[in-house]
Amino acid sequence: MSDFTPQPLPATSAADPASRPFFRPWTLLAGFVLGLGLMAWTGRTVIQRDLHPYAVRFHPMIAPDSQYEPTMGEMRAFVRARCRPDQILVIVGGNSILLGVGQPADRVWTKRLQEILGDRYAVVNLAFRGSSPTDGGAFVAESLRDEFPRQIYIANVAALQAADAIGIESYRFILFDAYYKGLLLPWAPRDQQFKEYLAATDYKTARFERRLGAEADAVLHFRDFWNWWSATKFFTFATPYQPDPNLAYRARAKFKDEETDYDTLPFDQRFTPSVIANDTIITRAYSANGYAKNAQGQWQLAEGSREQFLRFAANAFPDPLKPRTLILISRNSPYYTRQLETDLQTRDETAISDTIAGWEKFGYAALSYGHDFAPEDFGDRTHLTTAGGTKLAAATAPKIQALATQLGYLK
Amino acid sequence: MPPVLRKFWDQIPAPTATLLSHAGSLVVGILTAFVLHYVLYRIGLPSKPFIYVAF
Repeated sequence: MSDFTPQPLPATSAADPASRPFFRPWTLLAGFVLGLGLMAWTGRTVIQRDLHPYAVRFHPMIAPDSQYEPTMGEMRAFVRARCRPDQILVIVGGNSILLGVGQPADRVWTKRLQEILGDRYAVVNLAFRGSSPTDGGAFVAESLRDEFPRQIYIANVAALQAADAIGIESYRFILFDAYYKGLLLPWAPRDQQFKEYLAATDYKTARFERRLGAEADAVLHFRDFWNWWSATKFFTFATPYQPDPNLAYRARAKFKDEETDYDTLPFDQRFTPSVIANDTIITRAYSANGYAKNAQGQWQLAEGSREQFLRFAANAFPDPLKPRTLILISRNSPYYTRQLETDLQTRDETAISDTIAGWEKFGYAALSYGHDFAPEDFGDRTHLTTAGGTKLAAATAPKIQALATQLGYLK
Repeated sequence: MPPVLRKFWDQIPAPTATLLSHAGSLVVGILTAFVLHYVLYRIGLPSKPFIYVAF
């Protein structure tokens, strides 16, 4: 037998020091919930103010180039701060060409466009480097459709360039943000494509995590809060893209827009032999895909390529938004195109005409620019100098005004 | 808990200790939320900057 006799436990009371808990689990949990609630509320509140009052566009220090991903809330506030309710909102999306790469902030083409259009319009540049027509600016414009019903959205493509309804991977964080915050119109082709994107076998886990993050962010607003913090207080980690390592943690809103000025960059630095060689190849291939000569010796687009392009154009934007969308077709610099054989020049023109007709078929407005530009209007193969930007603004403004009239915005 | 801290904790009057333990737990809870909020933001960012190539 065991000689162990159970002893009664000593009585304890609140006054007994040994019984005092150091941590209170329920209070800790309450603090956790309260903290999350406070952070979410703060994020939701602070993102309603313009974080970039001095910016004319999302330059690299407030863009994914430097691991800064603007949120929908942030870009919507950017627009609200620049457009009065009585103005016609003109949002410029698209890629680096419309962003104004090569044009300093004070001479960027969208400023010239604003001057031509006058105070009745408010031009806001939401283009990003490498962005497609359906990325950031497009989602922001769509999300503001009720707040600014008189709006025109502009983006650019190359001839027959596909515009995916869900944008491109580098900027898909904006789609996630907009989609899970319920800011977009229901649009079956896009919804279906996004569903398929999320379910793609190879990336299913990663995309599920991303979806989970976006759903959590819709409630907790952590991206809004920490972008506000990063823009106005200090950036929280160092990135390789820095003008100066000492400025790694500097608040991003304090950085100036220091875009390269193609007007002051010598020609031989912009057009090095290797750049010329590569860009010549790209220029020659501008309209290569899908075109062949028919029996009459005319360039003709293969039926499969035409159908694919038209399918992308039909699905790119929701039907109600198509009439207010102006697609600009970008050309290559005449420095390169003038060296092309007449036959290739004809093929390019055919491709541009087909592209315009394809977009217009679904109710978009479309316009090509650059056919009358000089080599000095381009800083490189595609990006414009200040003079080229001025010409682009002059070419685009009448189309915008005509569109505004046609849509009944001027009544 | 280290003995020195335990001794200090035991010497605090009961009502004050209760108040302190609640206050401390609340602060730790809020700080945990703050850290989680930041981690959620940070893990969602790409590990490398977007490198732009003109096309």
